Order: sequence, then structure tokens, then C-alpha cells
Amino acid sequence: MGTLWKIALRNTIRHKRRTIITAVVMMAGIGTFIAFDSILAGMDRMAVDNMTDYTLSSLKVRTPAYVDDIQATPLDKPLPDASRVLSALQGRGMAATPRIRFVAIVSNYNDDIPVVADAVDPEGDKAVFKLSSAVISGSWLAPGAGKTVVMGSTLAKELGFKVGDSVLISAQTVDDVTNADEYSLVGIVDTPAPEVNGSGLFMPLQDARALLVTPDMPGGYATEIDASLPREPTLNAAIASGEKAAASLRAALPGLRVDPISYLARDYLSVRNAKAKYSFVLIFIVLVIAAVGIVNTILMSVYSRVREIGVLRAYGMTRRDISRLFTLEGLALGLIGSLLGVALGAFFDFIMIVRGFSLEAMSNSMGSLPLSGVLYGEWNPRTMVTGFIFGLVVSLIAALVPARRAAKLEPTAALRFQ
Amino acid sequence: MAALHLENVTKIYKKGDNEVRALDGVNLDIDAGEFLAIVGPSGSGKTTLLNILGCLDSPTEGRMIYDGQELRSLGEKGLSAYRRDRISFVFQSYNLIPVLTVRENVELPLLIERKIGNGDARSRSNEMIAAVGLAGKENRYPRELSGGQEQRVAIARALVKLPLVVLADEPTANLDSHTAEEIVELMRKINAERTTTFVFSTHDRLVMEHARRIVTIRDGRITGDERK
Repeated sequence: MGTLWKIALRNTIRHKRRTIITAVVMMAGIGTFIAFDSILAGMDRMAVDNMTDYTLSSLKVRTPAYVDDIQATPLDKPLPDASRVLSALQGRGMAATPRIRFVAIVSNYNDDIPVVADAVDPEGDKAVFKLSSAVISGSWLAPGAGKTVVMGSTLAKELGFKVGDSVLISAQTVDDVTNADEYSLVGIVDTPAPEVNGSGLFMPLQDARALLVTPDMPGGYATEIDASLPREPTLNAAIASGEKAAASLRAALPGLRVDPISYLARDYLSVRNAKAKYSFVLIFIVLVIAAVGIVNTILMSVYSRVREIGVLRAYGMTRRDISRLFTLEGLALGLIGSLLGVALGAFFDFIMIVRGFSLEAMSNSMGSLPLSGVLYGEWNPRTMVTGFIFGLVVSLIAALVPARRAAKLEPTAALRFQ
Repeated sequence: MAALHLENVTKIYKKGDNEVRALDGVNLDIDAGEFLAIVGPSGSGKTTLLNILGCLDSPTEGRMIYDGQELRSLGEKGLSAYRRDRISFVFQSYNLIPVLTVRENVELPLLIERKIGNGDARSRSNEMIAAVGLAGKENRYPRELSGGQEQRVAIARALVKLPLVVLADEPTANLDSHTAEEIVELMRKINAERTTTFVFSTHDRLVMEHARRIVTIRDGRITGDERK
């Protein structure tokens, strides 16, 4: 086997042009796969981080009845004891804050827009969400400021609001009676989450409780408690940590529903899994092209070395040895191409991780995806190993056809070959 | 008994609807240590006879007994093994492996044979390279050698595994007369020292002059067998 490897490797090095062309195609395929995966992982990370920071939080505690009826944002299914939930979460080192979600109609007295509003604890919310740092005009809500709201930039623009304007908000109370009041717009937020910008409306909990005429509850009326978990290095780690925390909380909070980010962002994550499949199809197509290159390269090698095959057969090499020789040559090509591909992918990853890529210029084409700012790539050793192994396997399979052809050559015909 | 015994060997090639009788009832005994030239015009069957003697091709009819063993029963793998263990070749155009050095080319049959370790293979190769007068050129590649030197490497490669028989197809055809003389002298010397059997196909008068036996072949039949 050592002799076969020696001949195979030296032939690969000797026919530089053939080797370089084939290796470059493989390098492009595997490098693209790794880079593509890094960008997708970075986009996923950015999207989920933005959802966590501006809309969903890392983990929500609600009643099962509330989640079952969530499309209606019901007000009659609040948490029975918000303070117990808060202390369970805070006891595990998590930042947590209560919220009430309710349907409201925002009006400027001429036009109105229905939104799903969030009643928040102005101080506690800062520990879980980043809305307070996304204020582009005015300020974030202040405790005890009295009948104030903050709204998303697109919503404010559509209704022609600016900071200091009066906003008429109406909503159905807990008893299903319409109630309305006037609030002062104290701040406008612009976040990477398009749904917050388009329909986000935030008011202090005490104002919302008055508007919705909520009953007194232990720890105060709230439909959900939102919590944040420490930032993990990768999205998969964040998902795993969320699930672990949720499992531990479920035991401590019987009768309540604890949902981590893997559940809260399930729609996005299922799209992400589909994207991962597309990226595999991409590498498959590129490597099939590379495989054709390998078949050609090794066939050329077979035809240029027919007499050599004759000599090796004359000296006692079996058909199997000859087949192995050319298979090893394919493997050597695959090894070079795969290593270069992984190196190229790793280099791209390094650039993307260190410098990132600004999405500002593409902000209009991102649609409803919660993506903005600087996109950073992510290391994924598993993708590199997959790309490397896949490159080797494809080259091995591609080498089998010419290797079989070489093995079929009769020694007498091979020695006569001119 | 002869080392190589061919009995009524016939080889027929089919070309479309036609049959070409390349060998036609050849009977030949070759003893160990012979230095034998097969001569005849082009197309007379010399190369076919060498291929059959070298187990590279099988006869259509007839028997071949090598060193007491009937070869008809051996399959593809068996013939490969037989070639590997007992037969060596020297080709008209040397046919060295271009990506291997002189030493690696000479070592190759030993590494294919796998009977001795790498260290022994290397020292035996070095001895053989020295024996053909190429000491100091072990690490050269074939492209760095003259035609005569390449043929010396081919001879060293053929002899390194101590074969029963060396088959040489026109070994001097691509060499100038001075180099050809040297090569033939070298083969005679090895034949005398090691009693290795040499069988040549040749048109070269020089080789014929040195041969101790000349077998003439014409139209696939042996028409002359002269011992000197």
C-alpha cells in the first residue's frame, strides 16, 4: 500500500495543472459550503438574538389556558401568582419581568390602527429586553410618570405621531367592555425587529391595569413573565441552555407553562432547518461538478500511463492493485481539494467572525426578517468535518470509474499501447 | 526436466471474422541458465511467444510447464502471482515509472512481491544498482538518465528479485551500438554469475552473436534452433 500511495501522490504532484484545476473546483465547492453555513448560522443567531432582545425574551411563563387561546390574547387567563413565578426565576439567577399583552386600537383622532400592545414594568423590562436602548426619539418609559406610551417608528410615522403628541388608545377590558384613554407619547423606538417598529406599543403596567380594569392578583395582574438567560456562544448552545432551564422551572412551577426560545421561535427555526437542507443541496451540486473533474483527471491519468499499467501488471500487480492505485490517486486529489476547501472556508469564517458584514445597505430587502446591523459568521467545526469527509467520499466514488477501467486493461495490450 | 517447457502451443487472435494464428504448434524447452535469442521477421510471432513465456497471455491450445508446474490451471490471480514470483521483464523502451527514482524503480518488484522488508529491499536494490554500474545515481529520476542508463535500471529492476527467467523484448533496439554492447555484456555477466535464464526477442546482430542459442521463428512456427 505504501508503494501505491507513493506512486499515486507523486503522480498527483507531477501533473500539477490537472491537480490544480480539480483541486480548485473542489476547494470552491467545500469553501462555499462552509462559508454559506457560517453566514446562515450568523443570520440565525442574529435573528434569534433580535427576537430574544426585542419581542420574545429567552423564556416565557404563562398559564396553559392562555397559550391554548393565544391568538385571542385573552385577558381572563392571567398568571394566578406572578410574584411566585418571579421569585422562582430570580432564584435561579435569571432576570425576569411581568407583562400584559392586549389588543388595543391606537388613534390620532382621524385614523386608527389595531395593535397588540405590551404593558411593561419600565425598570424591570430593561433587564430582559433591549427596547430602552432602541429609543430614537424621546425617552423610554419612566416609573410613575403617568399615562405615557412608547411606540414603534413605523407605527408613529403612519399615524403622524411625534414625541409629546397625545395618543388615544382604546381596548376591551377584562370584563369585555370598551374603554379608552389619552396618553402622552414619550418615546419612539426603532429596532431590528420589523414587527416592533410596525405595531409595537408599550405602556407602564399600572396604566394598562387601569385601562383594562384588571382584578387584583397576588404579585399584580400579568399575563406572562418574560426572562432572559446568559448569552451562549452559539445558537445551538442557547437553545440547549433554554430547554434545560425550562425543564428545571417546570418542576418548580407546576400548573404553569414554561416555554424556552426553541418553542417561542419555532416558526423561524423550522425555516432555518429547511435552509440547512438547501445548503447541503448546494454543496452536493458543486461537488458533483468537482466529481466530473476528478473522473476526467483520473481518466487522463489512466490514458497517459497505460504502458506503466502494463509494466506493473507484468511485475505481478493484480487488477485489484491497479484499481487501488488509481482510487488512491482520486483520494489524493480529494484530500488536497478538501483540505484547501476547508482552509478557504475557515479563512472566510475568520473574516466574517472578526470583521462581520454590515446589513445596513440591504435593510430594505430583509422584509419581515429580524435582521439588521453587522452580521457576524459562526465557527462550525461539524460543517468543516462534513465538507471534508464529503469531499473525500465524492472523490473516492468519482475515482472508481477510471480505476475500474485501468484495472480492466490487458497487460499485453497495455504494453503495446503507443 | 527443462525449466520452461512449451508443448504444441498455439495462439489464435480473432480480428473480426478472421483468425490470425500468431503461434502455431510451438514446442520449446528452455533450460535454467540459458542465454537464448528468439529471432525472426516482424510479425513472425516473437512478441506473442515472449508474452506467453511471460504469462502475460495464455495459449489458445497446448501446454506450458514452468519449473514443473502446469500453468493452464492458473487463473488471472494465479498468473499474476507466478509473474510476481518468478519472471522479470526488460522492455524495448525501458518503461521505467517516471515518478519513481532509480532506487524506487529497482525496489518496485520487491515491494510488489512483499517477501522481504523495506530495509532489505533497499539494500538489495542498492547492490543491484551498483552491479549495473549506476552507483551514485540512486536518487535520480528516469528523465535525468541517458537511454543506456535507463536500460541498465530496467535490467537491475528485472534482476533484483532473483527471477527464474528474464524476458527481454528487443532490449537493445533503442540504444546506440556502443551502449548496446555494454548492455549485452552486462546481461551475459549476470547470466554467468547468477545462472539466471535470459530469453530475448531481437533483430540485433550483436545480441545474436552473444546468444548461446538462437531460436528462429517464422509465421508462428519454429523453423530453426541453433546451439552454439
